[in-house]
Amino acid sequence: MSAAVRPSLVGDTLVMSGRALRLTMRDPVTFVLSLIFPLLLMLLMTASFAKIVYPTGGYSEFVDVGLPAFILVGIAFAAPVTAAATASDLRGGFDARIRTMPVPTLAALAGRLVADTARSAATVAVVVLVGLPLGFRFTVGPWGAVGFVLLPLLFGLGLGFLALLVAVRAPDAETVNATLNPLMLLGTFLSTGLVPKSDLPGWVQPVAEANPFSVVIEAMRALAHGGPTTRPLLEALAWSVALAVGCGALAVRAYRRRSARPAG
Amino acid sequence: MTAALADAAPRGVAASRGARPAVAADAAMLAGRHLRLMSRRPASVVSAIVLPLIFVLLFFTVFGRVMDRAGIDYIDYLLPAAVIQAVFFCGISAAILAAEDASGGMLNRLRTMAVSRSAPALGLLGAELARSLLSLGVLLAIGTAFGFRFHGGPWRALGFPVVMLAFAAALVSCHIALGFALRRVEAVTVATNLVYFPFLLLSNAFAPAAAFPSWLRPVVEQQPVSRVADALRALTTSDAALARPLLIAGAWLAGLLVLGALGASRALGRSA
Amino acid sequence: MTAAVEAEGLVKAFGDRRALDGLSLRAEAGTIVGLLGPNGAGKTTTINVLTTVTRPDAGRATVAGHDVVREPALVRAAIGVTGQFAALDGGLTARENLVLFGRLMKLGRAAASRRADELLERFGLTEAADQRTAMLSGGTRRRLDLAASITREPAVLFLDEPTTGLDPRSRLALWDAVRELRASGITILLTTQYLEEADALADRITIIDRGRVVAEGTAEDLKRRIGGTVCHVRLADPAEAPAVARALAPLGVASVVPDGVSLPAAGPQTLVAAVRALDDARAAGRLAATIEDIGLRRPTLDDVFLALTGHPAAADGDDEAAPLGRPAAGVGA
Repeated sequence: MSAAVRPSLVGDTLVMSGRALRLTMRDPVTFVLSLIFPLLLMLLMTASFAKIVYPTGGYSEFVDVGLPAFILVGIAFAAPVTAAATASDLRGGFDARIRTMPVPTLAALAGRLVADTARSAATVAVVVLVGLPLGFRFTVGPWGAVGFVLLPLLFGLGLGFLALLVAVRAPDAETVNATLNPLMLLGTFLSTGLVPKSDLPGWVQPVAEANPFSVVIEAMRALAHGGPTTRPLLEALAWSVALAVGCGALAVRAYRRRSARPAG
Repeated sequence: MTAALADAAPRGVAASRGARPAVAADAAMLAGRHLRLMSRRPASVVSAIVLPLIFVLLFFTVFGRVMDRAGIDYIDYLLPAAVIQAVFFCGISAAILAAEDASGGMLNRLRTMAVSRSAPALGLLGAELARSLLSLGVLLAIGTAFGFRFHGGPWRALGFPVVMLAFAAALVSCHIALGFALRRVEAVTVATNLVYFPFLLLSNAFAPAAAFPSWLRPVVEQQPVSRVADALRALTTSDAALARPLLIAGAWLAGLLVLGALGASRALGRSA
Repeated sequence: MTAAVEAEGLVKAFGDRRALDGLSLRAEAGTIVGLLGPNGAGKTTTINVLTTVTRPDAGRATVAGHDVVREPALVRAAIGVTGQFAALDGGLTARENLVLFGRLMKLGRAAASRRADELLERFGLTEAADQRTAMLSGGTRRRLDLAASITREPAVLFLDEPTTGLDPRSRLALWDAVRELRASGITILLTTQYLEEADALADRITIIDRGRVVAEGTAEDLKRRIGGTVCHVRLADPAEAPAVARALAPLGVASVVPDGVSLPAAGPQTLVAAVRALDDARAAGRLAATIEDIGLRRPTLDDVFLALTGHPAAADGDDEAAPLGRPAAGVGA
């Protein structure tokens, strides 16, 4: 009987994802808020800052240039929520049972990321759909648009693994939030997403340029509006994959190590 | 401090004096409890001090130049906004603590004891006011390092913390009422964010009302957060008229305070 | 007979504290073995090692024929675990939990669903089936937790203090469920600090203290080991027990038990001697206790425990390795 009971990375990840999706759908308020948050931010920031950032252009220009940033804001600030939920799993009884079952470590951890990616896709869709009538334009064609949608999802997966790593190592859900929220705030703000690089203070410019959020934002702009695409796209892909693989490996290692000492 | 003294006394003392609740002593004792709870939560220290600081520095860094181009000295403009935001964080924290006490049984326990009825709300309010003062101190210190100045002399400068405390009292008491009424922490988190984002971002806190689309401008100019920001800014300048913004802000705050007090006492009366 | 669980010389240290200190253990297939000990004795650490959650520093253990360190995946496929705290997803319903854990035990979708219905029926959970588990009562959650441990019938089932914190009726219901599981051929390793629980359920009992085995045998073996009878003094006020124990000290190892004092008895003459000793103490003004009852009786596991470890089972030990499942911390500002 037990011969058939083997850990299965793909199968178990799917089962765990199903659970996470179910939990997400069961809490529609949080789900809707996570979609509304970037939308609200885009509308409010546009209303208040567009005329100041682009005195001659205005609202539609701010939306056209800034939309990738608002997509990333939505995705970035969903990551701490997932991480806090994971941290609660790890400290509640649920994880205690999973550890005694034939389930691969990565599957136990990554289930929520699949559900998260689905939510991120909804975020991209909502922000783009509202952005279009306000001034956002795809000028490159269907393949550019496909890349524009997929790239933030991949980067979101990288951020998700980073959040998982924090969730596994932090002592409680509060610490997860206190660690990740400032990080996401710095990442999204100190970028070229809201204000052109030339309008940032001199010392911030190199920081903003190296910031992976800027890298992904510039690649998304290239995919939507044209211009040199290959290099920014490769850089963005490299960052996303590096975050996912690096943080994923560290998270799995830290998770296994947790079991070697009493919890708490 | 009073809170520390009251706290050092054995719990039974109030009862042995004939079990007459003393509002001030009870509230001070409960404020001490909340301050201790806060100091033990690293996340709450972060939200009280670090988060408003990060926000003000990020906005200054990212938008400082473009604001300069628009003729605004952004650090002077931004600091009142940061103070308002810090007070909002105190309000959100108060709502969560109130909900935890309401759902966790602490509130019910207090009502079975010789503790005056309004003490739970007043204690929480006192603790959050203390925290908002701490946050103000940090923001002023860092703001000054980045070029913020009071241009209107000592009397106007002294009015600044007074208006902030009045704003904190009004906002926190509304949030306490919300926390006691909703009781569920998740619901409170959602509700407070629904208040916080629109009121703060659809105000003149971070960008002047003139930058908003013209159909939105009346809302932005009239709403209470903008009015409080106007009053705080008037207190940092030397030339602006003082009476008008102070009166308008004062009227809003008095109204909010009454709303919060009524709401909290209703919720306290109901949650048995 | 074959061993379903076999552990030899297990050692596990946390810092400089040895939670397990050369512990050996054996459970024959199809039996219930009770692992008995006070808080901090190493019960939970033993379970954690045997269920592959914690790696031992030294020693070896096999469960269902597989080495817990070298073949953890095979061990996990063959076991079920019910911890001290219900290890369930509070956001999912009872049925959804059972289906989820069934699928993770590699039952197909249809089979997991069928098995969930079967278990809900068998454990009297049909009414709770569509409620979120966070809303269920403690006893119901614990039964569901047990059901979740056998979504795929395990060879060995580990129960870590399964009835801690339950009301008496829920406890009896859980005991019945455990007996039924043994009847279906599952080997069960059960930890408990309740002596009557081990007495009621276990075929054999292993008593551990400070990470070592101090005695092993059937409940009857163990009771016999400390002699045929004990002389028991029941007191109106347990606070008087130390004074009574001092008065009885010349007759043997008198120990304080929850309701009075216990003394190993050689026969009726011990009872006579005890009554005399107490009278003498009272006459000398060294004793003022009200004695409600004094007599000879068969020893209980309490007496066994005391005689073997030198302290009563209910005594609060220091820091037991915390169980992995703990209620989540509150949400904060």
